[in-house]
Amino acid sequence: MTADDNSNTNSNNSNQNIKNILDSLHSLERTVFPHLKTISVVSELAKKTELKQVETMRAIQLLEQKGVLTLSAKAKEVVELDTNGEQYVKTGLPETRALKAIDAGASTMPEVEEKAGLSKQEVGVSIGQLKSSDFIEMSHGKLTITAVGKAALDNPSLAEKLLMKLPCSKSDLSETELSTLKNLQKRKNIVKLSAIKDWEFSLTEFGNEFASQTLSSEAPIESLTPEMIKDGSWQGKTFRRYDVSIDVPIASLGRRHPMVESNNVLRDVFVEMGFKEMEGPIVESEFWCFDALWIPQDHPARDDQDTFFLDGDADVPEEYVSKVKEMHEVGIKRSHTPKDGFSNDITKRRILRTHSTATTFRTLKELGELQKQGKDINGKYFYCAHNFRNEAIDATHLAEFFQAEGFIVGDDLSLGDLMGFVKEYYAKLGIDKIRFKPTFNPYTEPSMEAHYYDEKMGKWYALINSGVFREENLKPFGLENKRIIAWGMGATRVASLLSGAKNLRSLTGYTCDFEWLRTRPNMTRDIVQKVPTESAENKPRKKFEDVTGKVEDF
Amino acid sequence: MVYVYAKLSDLNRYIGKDLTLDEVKDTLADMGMDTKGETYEDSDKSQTNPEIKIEITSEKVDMVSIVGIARAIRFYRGIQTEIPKYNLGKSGMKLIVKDTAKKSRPKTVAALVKDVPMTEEFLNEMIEVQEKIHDSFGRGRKKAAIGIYPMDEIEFPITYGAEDPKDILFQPLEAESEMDGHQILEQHDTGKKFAHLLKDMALYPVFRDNKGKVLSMPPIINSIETGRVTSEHKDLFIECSGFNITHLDNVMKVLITTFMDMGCKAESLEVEYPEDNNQGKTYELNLESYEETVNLDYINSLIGINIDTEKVKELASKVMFNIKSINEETKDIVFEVPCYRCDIWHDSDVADDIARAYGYNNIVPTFPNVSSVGGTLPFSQFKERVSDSLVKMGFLELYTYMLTSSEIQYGKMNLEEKEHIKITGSAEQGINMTRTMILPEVLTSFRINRRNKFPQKVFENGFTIQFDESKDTGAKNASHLCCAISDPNADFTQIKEALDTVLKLEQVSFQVKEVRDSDYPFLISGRKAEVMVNEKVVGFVGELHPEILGNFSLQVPTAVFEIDLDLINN
Repeated sequence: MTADDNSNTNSNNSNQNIKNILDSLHSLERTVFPHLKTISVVSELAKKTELKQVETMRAIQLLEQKGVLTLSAKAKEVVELDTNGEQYVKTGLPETRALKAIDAGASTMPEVEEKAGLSKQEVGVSIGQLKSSDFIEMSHGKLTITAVGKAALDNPSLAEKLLMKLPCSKSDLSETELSTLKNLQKRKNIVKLSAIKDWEFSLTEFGNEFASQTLSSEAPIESLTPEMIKDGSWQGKTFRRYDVSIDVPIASLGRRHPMVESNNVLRDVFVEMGFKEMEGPIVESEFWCFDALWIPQDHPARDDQDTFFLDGDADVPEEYVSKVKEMHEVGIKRSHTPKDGFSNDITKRRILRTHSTATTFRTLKELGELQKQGKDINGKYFYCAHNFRNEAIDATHLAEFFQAEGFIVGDDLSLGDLMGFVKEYYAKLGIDKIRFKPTFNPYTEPSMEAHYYDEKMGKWYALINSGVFREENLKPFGLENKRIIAWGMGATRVASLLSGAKNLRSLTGYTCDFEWLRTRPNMTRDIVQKVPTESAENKPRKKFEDVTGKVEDF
Repeated sequence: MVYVYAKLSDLNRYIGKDLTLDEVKDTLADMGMDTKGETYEDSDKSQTNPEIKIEITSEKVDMVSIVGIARAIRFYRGIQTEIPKYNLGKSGMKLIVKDTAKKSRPKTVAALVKDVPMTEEFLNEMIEVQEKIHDSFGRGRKKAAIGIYPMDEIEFPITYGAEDPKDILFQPLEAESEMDGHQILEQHDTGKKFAHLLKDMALYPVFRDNKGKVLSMPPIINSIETGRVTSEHKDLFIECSGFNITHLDNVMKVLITTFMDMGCKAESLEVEYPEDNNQGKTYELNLESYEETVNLDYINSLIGINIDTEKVKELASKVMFNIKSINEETKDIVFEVPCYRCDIWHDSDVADDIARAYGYNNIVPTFPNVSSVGGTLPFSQFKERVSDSLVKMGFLELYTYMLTSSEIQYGKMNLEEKEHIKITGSAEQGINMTRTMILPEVLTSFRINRRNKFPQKVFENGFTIQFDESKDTGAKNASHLCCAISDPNADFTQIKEALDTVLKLEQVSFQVKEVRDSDYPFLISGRKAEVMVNEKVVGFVGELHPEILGNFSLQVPTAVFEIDLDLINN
């Protein structure tokens, strides 16, 4: 509670406030209530109320939450009975028992042993002690009690008095008791000292007023039972008032994964805008992933560092391969077009799909064939796809990631149309400030990046890459009569923005923290509204051995 | 990506005007070039001469130098409007390509650069351009390798051929003594770095002068005697070797015009081939502009603007085009394009340049006039329903990786290996396959989360990769649903309840059949079963064997099922 809250409380009807709190007291609080003004140490309160220490503590903490008192730790040394000590408190100390036995007529060591029920050793020690205190004397081999001894029998010894008093705080002992304690400590297992933490509390101003009230004689109903409802025994009674503002743990609910949830957001936006879903294989040929896209066979993106190459060849559609090959070697218009080499062996190689544009081109082939059959193929298509890149995994790099991609087939679509569409798409994600920048992609011309402005970060970010497919890309599939605008974005990046998880390894993969998955805030569509939340990734990191056995900080 | 680091003062010197940093950055952005990362070498923004890191997109070979960038900025900002005439003299010198050349790097082109205003700075700039071209368009010297030699030290004609590496004897740059071709690749630092470009060849390429002195062994290294350029030299012989004469010609045009823009003169020489190559029997550099005819209506319709011929004239020079003629009737425009522009492959490339000149952010966005009905695939809808059922039952969805190791997929599961996609050369250690089963990945996730609270009820609805001969790539994305309950009380009944619920809600008729003790060794005998749909096995259900729990360092009983959704959906 802040100071403001307090003043607020005071300005309210304070009597009503006190009454409400009285009605909300838990049975434990009710038990300690009468002693709040007289006792200020938790352990003492426990002793007084005969509650267990934990119960007393619970009651005090509840009262603290209500602003009745403030609690502070108090460290102290406590003297307690040890095993023998506990025994002696019940039966008396061996020397007292020996003295009693002698008083009752035992005059030899074995007699004392028998009468007092002590061991031989105990008798030995006791006799020695009694002698030195002049409680007994020995004459003609017989033990007899002295007058001093007789007198001592009437009163418990200092040691016994001390034992009766335990457990207690060492600081509460007198000088004499302390010296007795010193002697007892020399003996086996009679007392033990331990440092324990006790708790002290003091009433607040409000608490003083509160503690002066009288409790209703009848305890309020703690919980309503079906029986009470049936027999009406609740009537005329009050229910204990609850602290309704109390924090409770979040429910153990099932949730979608943020990566999937985010993909579903993108999917929904696509569907709302009239897009149909596509699908294609993860294990791809270089033909569909690169060659069909007019990416030269010696392009750096096709290096081992970026692509997972697999063994074995894929079947490629020969008819289209030869058309694509012609585009690589001759091109469409100029005599000085690239004339890059084209190997049929390379085009067949199998890889893990590096981008979903591979599937876009499979779809273009289908569309080309449909057009040949006289069908109208204008339309919109999308895919949120799993792609792979040969990268070492860290906070900002993943070897597998998602890409959302869409394209529109039309008759005279333009760069302006692409801008219009991208603008709408961004708007659906809560983005309104955008700008366009020309860029280069091997398979689109014009090619365009669409940046958005994040007010909170005060920065521009590039999220969408896009363009108009080149004629070199469309011609092999018989689509050169069409204009196709296309764009794609990193869906993993979108998921990280929408979920607030900055570290990609806490967002995807087996490294995800279940607790975060369970308790993370619901996802909205607003990319720029999102402030990174206190998420699992901000917790102190556990160390774990990952797949390879090396220790990773995650 | 190629990055050019340019001091603002150097850039401005070539631009011929004192532009501010922001002016330079904005102009580059409009042209499509990113200025990346830290703009300043040190973060002191007040410094008057910042260094800019410029990312050059791969098609702009003519912009991989400060000179090239400055030239483009000069046009874009209207400081220059006429494309320059490059006067190339004819030297009458010769480079003779021998028949043997086709056995190694078959092609070369060459030219002479004269009256070089040589300074230490100029020399560095020259080497910088050379290296940037090697790194980008040259594909690490494979596609194009440039050699520069002082003319003072060599005697024409020069020959280019391929020889036995043992016979290629010379003292290379940065070496103490003479070495042969083999020794260079094995012992010389530069040789070792580029050895992969030659090592499979029986003969290595070599340039020799008229006296037989070795000039260089491309694409590796020059001779110290004939191929070391210093600030003393005024006239240079420049060659570029590779496989495709068109590529090499492009490089040479960029290189020579760049040097000429830096104040040099240049002359061509005749490269004589033993037989016809793509451009005839001889090659000789030509720096004349070329023509491109593009229709204005096409430009307007592709870009989504409506500009007239007057406007095109104005815009063309911003992107280094001049207009030769315009047919006002047909709207055909003949553009004059400088020789160094090797990024014009199609009308769309011209149109895009006009769009860049117009300014992308000046184009009015329009909404495409294509009507369509959207929708997801029926199978996606099925998968979504299944996931939602599990979420409603309190299961947490996971998304683990498809890339994994055989140790996790088979080793820890006590399973024999089966057909799977093998991965080699992964940058991430430990990855050697794509998963065939989701369960082992889910168990790995349990291990990471073993200190989180229980019960842990999770599922993953994701892909595995399975062999499939009927597919063109021999493999298919197979959708699996894996579900697991980890809890001190987890048992067969609980997991079967989840399985039955999922399938019954989808109205799938299925049986759960007992299996032999030897099947599914990762499950406890007597508490494991197969899930059958249409007489076909579609998955398994059971309690995880304690040995497997141990393998994954798990200490809590776990019950699981995994089913193939493709099989169920069919």
